[in-house]
Amino acid sequence: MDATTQVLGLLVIVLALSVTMITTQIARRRRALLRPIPAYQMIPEFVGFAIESNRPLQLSFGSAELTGPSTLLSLASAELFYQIAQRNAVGDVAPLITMSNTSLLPFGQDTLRRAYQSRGRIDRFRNTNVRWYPAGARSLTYAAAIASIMGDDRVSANVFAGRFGPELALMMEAGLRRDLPSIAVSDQLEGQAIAFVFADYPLIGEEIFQAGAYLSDSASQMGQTITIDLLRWVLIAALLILMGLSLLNGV
Amino acid sequence: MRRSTNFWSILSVAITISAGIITVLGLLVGDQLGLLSTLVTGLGIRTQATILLRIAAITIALTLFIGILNLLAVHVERIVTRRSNAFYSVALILSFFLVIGMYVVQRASGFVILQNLQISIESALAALLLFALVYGAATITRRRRSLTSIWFVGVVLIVLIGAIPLGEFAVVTQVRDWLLTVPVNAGARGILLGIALATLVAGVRVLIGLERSYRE
Amino acid sequence: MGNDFDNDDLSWLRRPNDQDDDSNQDEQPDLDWLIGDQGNAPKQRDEKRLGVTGELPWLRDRDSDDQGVTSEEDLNFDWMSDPTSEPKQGEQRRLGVTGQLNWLQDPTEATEEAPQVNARKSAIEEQIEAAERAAGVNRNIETPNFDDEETSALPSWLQGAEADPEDDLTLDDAPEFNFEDLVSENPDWLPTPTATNTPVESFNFDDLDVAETPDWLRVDRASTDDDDFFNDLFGDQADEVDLFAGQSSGTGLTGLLNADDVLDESDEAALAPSGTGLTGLLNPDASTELDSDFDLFKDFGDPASEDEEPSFDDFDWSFSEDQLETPSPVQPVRSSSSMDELDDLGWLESLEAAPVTASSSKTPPKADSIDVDSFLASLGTGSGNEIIPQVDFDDLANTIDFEDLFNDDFDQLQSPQEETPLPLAPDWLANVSVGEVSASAIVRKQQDRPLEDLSDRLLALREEGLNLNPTETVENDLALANLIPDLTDALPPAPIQPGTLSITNQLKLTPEQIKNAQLLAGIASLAGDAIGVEALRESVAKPRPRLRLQLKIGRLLIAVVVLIAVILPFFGIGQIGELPPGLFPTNSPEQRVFDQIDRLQPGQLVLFAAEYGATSAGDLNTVSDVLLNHIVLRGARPVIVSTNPIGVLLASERVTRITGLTPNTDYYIGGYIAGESIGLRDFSENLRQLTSNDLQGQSTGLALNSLDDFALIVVVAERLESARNWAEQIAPITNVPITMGISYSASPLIMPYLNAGIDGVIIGYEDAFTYSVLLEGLEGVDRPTEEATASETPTVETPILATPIVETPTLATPIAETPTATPIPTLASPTAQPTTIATGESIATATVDAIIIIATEEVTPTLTPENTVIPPSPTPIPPTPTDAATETFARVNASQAVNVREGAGLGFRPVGSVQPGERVLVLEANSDQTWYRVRLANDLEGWILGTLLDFEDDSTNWDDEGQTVYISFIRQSPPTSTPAPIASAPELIPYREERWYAMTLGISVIVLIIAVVNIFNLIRRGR
Repeated sequence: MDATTQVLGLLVIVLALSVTMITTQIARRRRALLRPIPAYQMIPEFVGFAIESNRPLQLSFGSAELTGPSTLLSLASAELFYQIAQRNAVGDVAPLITMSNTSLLPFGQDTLRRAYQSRGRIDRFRNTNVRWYPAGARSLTYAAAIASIMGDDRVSANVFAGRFGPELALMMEAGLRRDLPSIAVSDQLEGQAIAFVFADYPLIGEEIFQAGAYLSDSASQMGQTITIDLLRWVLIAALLILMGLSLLNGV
Repeated sequence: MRRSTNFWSILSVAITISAGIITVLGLLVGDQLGLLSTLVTGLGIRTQATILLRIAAITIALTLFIGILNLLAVHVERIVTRRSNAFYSVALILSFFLVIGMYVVQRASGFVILQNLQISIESALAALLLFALVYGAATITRRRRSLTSIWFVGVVLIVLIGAIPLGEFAVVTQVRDWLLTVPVNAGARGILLGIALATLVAGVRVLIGLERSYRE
Repeated sequence: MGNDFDNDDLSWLRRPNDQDDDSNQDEQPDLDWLIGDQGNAPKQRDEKRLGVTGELPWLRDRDSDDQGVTSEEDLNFDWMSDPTSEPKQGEQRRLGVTGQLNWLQDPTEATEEAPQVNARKSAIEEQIEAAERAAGVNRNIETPNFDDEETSALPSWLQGAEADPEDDLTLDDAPEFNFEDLVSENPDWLPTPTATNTPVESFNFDDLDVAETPDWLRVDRASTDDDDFFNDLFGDQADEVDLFAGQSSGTGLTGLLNADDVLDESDEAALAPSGTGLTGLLNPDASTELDSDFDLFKDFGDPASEDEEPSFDDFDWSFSEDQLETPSPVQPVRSSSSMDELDDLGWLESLEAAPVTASSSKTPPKADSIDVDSFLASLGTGSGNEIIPQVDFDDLANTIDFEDLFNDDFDQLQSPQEETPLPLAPDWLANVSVGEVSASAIVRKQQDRPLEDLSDRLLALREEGLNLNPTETVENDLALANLIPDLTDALPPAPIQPGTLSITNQLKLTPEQIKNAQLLAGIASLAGDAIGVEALRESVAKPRPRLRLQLKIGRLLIAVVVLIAVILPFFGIGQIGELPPGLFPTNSPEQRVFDQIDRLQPGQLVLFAAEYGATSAGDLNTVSDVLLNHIVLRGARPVIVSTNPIGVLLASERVTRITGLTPNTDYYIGGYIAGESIGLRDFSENLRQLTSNDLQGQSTGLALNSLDDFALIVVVAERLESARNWAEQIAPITNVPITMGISYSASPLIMPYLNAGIDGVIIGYEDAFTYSVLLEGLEGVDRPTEEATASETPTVETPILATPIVETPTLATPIAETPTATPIPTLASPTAQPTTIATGESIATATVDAIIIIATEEVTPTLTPENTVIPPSPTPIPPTPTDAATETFARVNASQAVNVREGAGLGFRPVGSVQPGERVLVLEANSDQTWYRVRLANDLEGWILGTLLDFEDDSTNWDDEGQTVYISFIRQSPPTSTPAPIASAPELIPYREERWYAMTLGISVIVLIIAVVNIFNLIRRGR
């Protein structure tokens, strides 16, 4: 890695750090308006239906893992699942959390356990509600397994939030056949396209990272959302400036 | 209820922050950054970062055993509680031990099973994927009738038609090439950039301890 | 992680052990709203929820049976102090629920600085002092001292407190509380209600002098002490009380509603008459919706629903059955409307706004009833209007206009320390998003079903839910909070936003919902029929069957059509389209891949990464085949690794199909690299350890020190991420060139990495097809022994690939034994069968499954090109013209520059190029006259493909049709006089052409299906 890349990398981290700290402080004092995201707005309805019908929700990480580029996506997905599980703690049946990467298995169990523990419903928590199906990225066997548990466990709705590739089509098509509502997002382009096509309430790209801001009253989560927005504008400005410079140089 | 701050909680956060900083410095800082490079080198941060990475890789590899135990536990529970389609759980557990046994007896058998079963099954599922994708694309306007959906279908058709090697579709091929090169590439990069930004911010939050979802 | 979404229901206002016990029916008002959480006891929701939060039982009619339970614990003033911790040095003692009851402080000690807390003072004394100071009220009242006579000025309910600051002021220490005494025994520092008090029946929050709103209603969030107080007192429940935290303009609840910050004019115009903020909450016809997290108001409900015991996600705050047009959906509404319509909330606008008045239609409560909140709110006005009205909440729900209560006038009251945007924060930060409704309004509009409609299970769940711990005990890390000062996790949810909701245009009821609605109507009509009601109730409660077993004709039809389209070409039907070209464009990324591998020397190691799984196996197995075969053909040794366990196995399976190779000698299966990018990084640094044993556990014998020990790195990837991992993790740390084979879907995004870590790329089946054509003309090299080095060149005499081939030759009649009699080959038609070999040499044995090996038993080379390590071509045949004095010239007939190669074959290395139209001297031809050795104008000699030459002598013009042959080479058909190819001729890609035609026809049919079905859907829906 050359020196320029190193310096730029460090600068980007420092910039993100600074903006995060500032926006978190701002978020504590000012309320930022969040545009409505249907997927998050439907979460309570999903949970309500799951509770009333006494059927579990199916929450899937996909092939997200803890040792690669999707590590932080895993955290974001876990935040969403935590919020859902907390709301669902009133019901009899805990949601099912599935993944195709074993690195997320302890994390998924911990997420579900803490959600239920926070509501004092630890008695409802079971380790076997968090399930690993083999294996790895773009695993079709994982897709087949998820399609099967929709019927075996009488899933009420699906939330696919993680890393999915084309195999998402198999899972979502199975959900369509069972008339199950779904929310889906993927950090892979193929999975994102399929999520857009098949899901009832798709999330796009980094909207998964805003689950905490929408579903909790955490200032730090709101600060994260604001930080992402700010940095996005910074990036846009940088792109425009660089494009202008390249055009000038070309001229 | 107020929960007191416990030692293990602080320890986990401290470990996370320190490991993150060491890894970032060890991987990001080379030899060309003067004092910072000297500091990193002097403290052996690169070596520590490598060790941490190796620990992470080994730990993640070990989680495979946890996954296998989880898989067995889920299906044993399904059998014990006589859930629906428990027969498939029985088949899974039997095949699990069968494969292990065969591999113990003859190592090459695992290869044979993989080639003749695993790959065959996954290939069949991949073929099934084709039909699922076709059906999804064909019925998108029925599920979600909007301008966005129509535009989506239009692009799909252009890309597919452009892939047909017929001379009559040369114009469509050019349109497809432009689509893939410009708007699709731009949109894809936009999505990936957004995810990357969010990942960066989330990573920074973990580095400074704002994101503490991993602890009690 | 975030806190429980319903933390904002102000559970801290509840009594700790609230029981539905009406045993204590004395008239002491319920002060549970003053009491914070006292322990771990599960909180029970107050059934009779009143007030803004539903927790203001003091608003109840004291004479009604709805009187909340009052117990001695109600008078526990622990909310005024932190029972578990001592105040910090210099920390201002918190007063009141929000710690901002500054008006309770001793005004004589009111300073701008935080008062020093004297631990030895009683808790009450400290609180009063702090409140007075913060309020800045100069009341000239000394700090109340319970021990001196001045305590007599205090109401009886404040008297009797123990002076020991260590002890919590418990109810035992206080006399029996009577709110009436509060009125009659007001100390001097509390204003005395006068006769001019506003009658309750006409009590209007509009009259409330908002300028004198107590500080506890407008918490200045700029102060860190608030957070500390909350953190100390309520610990993880700070998130709840932050509901009152200053927002936007820094004033408590006004932050929720400050139009300057959250609304613009257009938004206001779009609002229902009830306005924004809390008004929207209370107005049953508000066109705005609450955020689902804003549970503060969730019980601020319709009077009709007062008897209900809402669960934590019931929203009975405003709507009545008459006003709502839609029943509660049983199932989340499937997205059945267009995405463009998601933002339309027209159905909300149809709801008729109900007038909100401040007048109560019910019997005005007793004037002497106690209303602490109002009393407190009216304090300080000096207008003599201080009263303690008792408002019937039933009326309050429909009458109070909170808009005036929380209007913009609050902005004027902001303290000097009002939170202002930081210099770094732009003004638009407050409006970082579009000003649309942000709440999950679609859920809010749901109406709760009556309790009698719930099944037993749901009723039991509801009972359980009331006893649930509603708060998440988020750990309060003061240490970390100090790391980032002023940081808490407290933030109230987003305010009500005007505008349209982006879910649906109108509710679309599923058939099940319609059925349930009809059942509800039936229940209402069968009110007297218990049996009927029960039956209907059970049928409603029954979960709907989800699995549809009926056959989906549409899916079946599509599957059958596609299947037929894919199968037909294998039977020779429907073979449409053109085959891929037989050559890559010069200097193209694909050609670079070929050239990189072609330059490999025997014995060199090649790192082969198979980063794909079964999903892309159909596409990338062919790519792996051609690349592995080319590597093996060059005598190199592939070392197969992958971060995908299936990929390792797939590549291993492909390489084992190449016969004549010995594992751990001719190829190595390095194994699975765990951890993707991290694993790759580790792999690059621990190469020896990870390649010392193969997948089977056997020793490979490799002693690799670094990636530079490889001659080439070949990556076959199905995902962009896999390719990127190699380009980003491996390419920067090695000088070894990296080439790639990638799937068609990832190809558009891989291009930026070309020339930035990746030297060449071939894409999908199409390029694999062309590659296989190129390989057909390739001759193998002698594989070195184990002791052979990379610099060793193979012998010329025995150009065989592998021993088994030599030992068991099953050669057919050589194709070109009589080259002189061989007619000039003609251009192949697009439908030519792919069974020919370009060079016309003998075909290798059938034992070779995947490689077309050109091998001869006897070779007597008569032409040995200089400086070549490649076996020479077969015996050259002099050109047809026998007249030595006649020179044969030809012109290059191509659309672009043509390679001049070292030998008569595509596998030979180019030595130069010749431009289209250039005249060359033909020196000789090969045995089947497919290649000609020519001399260029610059005296460069080499071989050119015969189809690219236009001989000046018409008799040698091989193009019967006179068509110009372009660089897009089309395979030649074999000479008619040549014998039929060997039936068992191995093919690199079985059914290569059929598969291509199947793809073509399949894509065509899929295009038709997608277009037709979508057009049909659009037309059908449009009607």
